[in-house]
Amino acid sequence: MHSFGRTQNTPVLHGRDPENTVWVSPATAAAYGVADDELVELVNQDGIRQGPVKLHVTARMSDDAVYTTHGFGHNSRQLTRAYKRGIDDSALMTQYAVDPLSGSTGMRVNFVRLVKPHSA
Amino acid sequence: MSFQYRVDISRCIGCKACEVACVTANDLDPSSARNWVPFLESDDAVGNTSFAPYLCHHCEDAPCVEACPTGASFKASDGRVLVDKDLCIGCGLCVPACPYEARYVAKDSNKLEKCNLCEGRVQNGQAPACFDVCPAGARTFYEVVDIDGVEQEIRVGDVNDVDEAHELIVLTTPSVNPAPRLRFSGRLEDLELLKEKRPPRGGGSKTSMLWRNGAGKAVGALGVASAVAMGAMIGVRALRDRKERVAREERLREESQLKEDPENPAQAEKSADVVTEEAESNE
Repeated sequence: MHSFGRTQNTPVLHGRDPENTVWVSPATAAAYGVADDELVELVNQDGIRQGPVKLHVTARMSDDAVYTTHGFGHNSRQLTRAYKRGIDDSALMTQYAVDPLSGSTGMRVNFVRLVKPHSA
Repeated sequence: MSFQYRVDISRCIGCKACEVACVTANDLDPSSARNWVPFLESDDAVGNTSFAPYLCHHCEDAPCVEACPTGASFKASDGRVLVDKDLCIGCGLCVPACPYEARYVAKDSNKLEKCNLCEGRVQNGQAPACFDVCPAGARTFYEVVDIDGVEQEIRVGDVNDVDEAHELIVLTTPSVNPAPRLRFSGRLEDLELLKEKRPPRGGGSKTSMLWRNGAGKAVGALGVASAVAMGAMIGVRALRDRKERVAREERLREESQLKEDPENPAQAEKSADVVTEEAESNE
């Protein structure tokens, strides 16, 4: 739908896909005591928070992973429609590993847990 | 003149160009659209997913027209179900009357919004905007014209090729068949998913649905069929598809060989010469 972080404020595209959702498996949702369509927040290992965001529970997810689409959770107020709609996945990636040979970075070293909005 | 249209849900790629086209062609509130493309997903991990391009079914026997207290909803002579905005009081009684949830009350005008197959476009021999823009050929539009007393469907617009041979079925409620004009085709598992998982749109309630064939009879294998029957049907379809694919590939191969020969006429002549020489030496 959107082209990464660039089209979220386009009126007609915003109308189609206004915000992202966080996908988890039914087992993960049950473990955290949350349900489909419920609002949750994500907290990473360094205490960085993103949310609230709507949860999408689907059996197509693995139990040990969360999924979300990139390009939401804008923090510019001038993006009048997209401002603070959905969450910013990049903000949760505070750690990265560097490959010693090529120097490329691996960002799959961040871990999040689900929390209810406005809780600890 | 009358219209027919069909949707092949298995062709849809979920790009929503049809929704955007609807908004721009009809100058609608950008957060709304008269058509919609739900994403369907089954409950199990290895299950099927599909998109379902949707729009008003423009039923022959439209329940929404009956539900309208002011006569704003009416059936036009060309078969379209339209709304006279001057008569509409925005009461919304027609919204739950439609089993397809094709109607909604617009937030900005407080008037009923629904698909009119793009007023102005159909009269000019164009397909409605959502049909015109579909890059996958999932939506195809036909004019029904009377040629020597026989009604014939003529395709409008030059979208991708269509599987004309595909079985066409309509979606209705189990009790009422409003004779919808929108006919569906696609893979059986996708159609089954659409029937089971059709998500409610707007404030409408989710009505249980049934597939019917052109004669209005329930399509058994798609209805309450057991998993075994479904599997068998899918198997038959897969075999047929494979047969068609092999035939198509063979045809393509033959065509490509035919193309190669005229490019190398010298080679063809040479081989002919060899044959003649051999024939001569044999003598």
